[in-house]
Amino acid sequence: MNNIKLFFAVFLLFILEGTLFAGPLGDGSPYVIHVTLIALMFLGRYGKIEQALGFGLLFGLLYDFVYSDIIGIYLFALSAIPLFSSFVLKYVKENVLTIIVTFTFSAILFELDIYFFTASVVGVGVPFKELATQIIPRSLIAQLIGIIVLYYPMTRLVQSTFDEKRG
Amino acid sequence: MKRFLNNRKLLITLLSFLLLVILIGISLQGRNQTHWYQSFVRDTVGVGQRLFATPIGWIDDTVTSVKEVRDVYKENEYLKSRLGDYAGNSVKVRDLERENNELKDMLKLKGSIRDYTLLPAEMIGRTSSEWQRFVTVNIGKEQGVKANMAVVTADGLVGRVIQTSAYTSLVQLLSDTSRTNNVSAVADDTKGKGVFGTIEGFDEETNLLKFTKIPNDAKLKKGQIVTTSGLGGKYPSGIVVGKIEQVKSDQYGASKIAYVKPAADFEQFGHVFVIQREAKEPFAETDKGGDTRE
Repeated sequence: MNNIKLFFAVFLLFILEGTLFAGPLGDGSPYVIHVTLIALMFLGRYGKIEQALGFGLLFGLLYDFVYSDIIGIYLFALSAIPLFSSFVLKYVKENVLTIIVTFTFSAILFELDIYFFTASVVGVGVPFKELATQIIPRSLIAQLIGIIVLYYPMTRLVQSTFDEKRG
Repeated sequence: MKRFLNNRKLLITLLSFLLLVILIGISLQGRNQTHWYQSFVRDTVGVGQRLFATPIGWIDDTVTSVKEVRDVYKENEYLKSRLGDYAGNSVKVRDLERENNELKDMLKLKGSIRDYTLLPAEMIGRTSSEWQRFVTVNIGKEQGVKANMAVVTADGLVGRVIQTSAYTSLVQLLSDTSRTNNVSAVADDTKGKGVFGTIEGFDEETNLLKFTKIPNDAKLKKGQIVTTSGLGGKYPSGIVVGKIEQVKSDQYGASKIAYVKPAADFEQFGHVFVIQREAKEPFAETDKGGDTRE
């Protein structure tokens, strides 16, 4: 039951990422907030890492099926990045600031991962210089806003789900 | 070897990478084809996307209409001034059409690469990355959509269908920077002679399309309209791509490159038309697979 609640919450964000954020409001620009990834990172930190990995594989595959024509790129990125952020937070003194900073840099790592995978598999016309000087800085701001906005609802949702589980 | 095999975590990681590479390889082989499981997932997720995309579309349309109200007066004045030209042009077009049909009848020609039917569609999803510009539309195989069909807005060409499921289609926008994204196009030079080339590539900084492989002796100038040539065999001819902004020699001086300002806005659109070309694709053996290029 709890897993279903979490699944639908992440699924809702997955749909919103491709409609509301990347649609008329987001214009498919680097201002798009990767809300699915952010939710999975919160799940990895406040829930179980195995569950974040499972959800990452599932939503990564969904992302590849629905929004892309190559299977594997988002599958890898959406499962590996939440694992990475949880791993980093194990070795960092945890507080709101370190969580936000870790998640923001993990989201940038996600962008880089997608860029290099896409470039090596099908080729992209965006040079790395442009990625580093224009896209990444704008994305950094967008992801930071997304993490701050989702911080409270996601921590509440994941923690309440796991509290219910523990009884 | 025994120690290596006992290291479970390392083994799982390596196997996962191997599986990932195999997956990417398999999906690359049939990029133009949609498998049943992809179709099923796309159609299922498509239901959820429609639930959100429809109200978002309404809000966006309302906001756009409010913005446009400010320009209505100016636009009205301009259109009134052009109304005189319109009457003359429509009579001219009607006469030319009749003459064209008569000549076709005399030659017993059926159809033309200009003929097509429009299938209206709505955008329900968009890839949220800067280097992969795909959108999902709410019509698919059931409505007659096939891979490689052109997709237009009221302003001009926006892209082409790359994959279809029963009720949705994945569209690659002209602004997508992938190497497979190219369209056979034509523009009239200063003497009214057709100059053929290929639209391939999108300049991210200037937001202009690259019209390449133009012969060095072609005389193109700013403001000339670029349309599809219909020679690629997939798109009909005469669909507006954009206007020439700048003409340069390519890096080796072997041909010219024209930078084209797209007629359609690749970012702000909700409604599109998928084009069913009536003339058959030359040398086409099957609808599935094959070269994905125009």
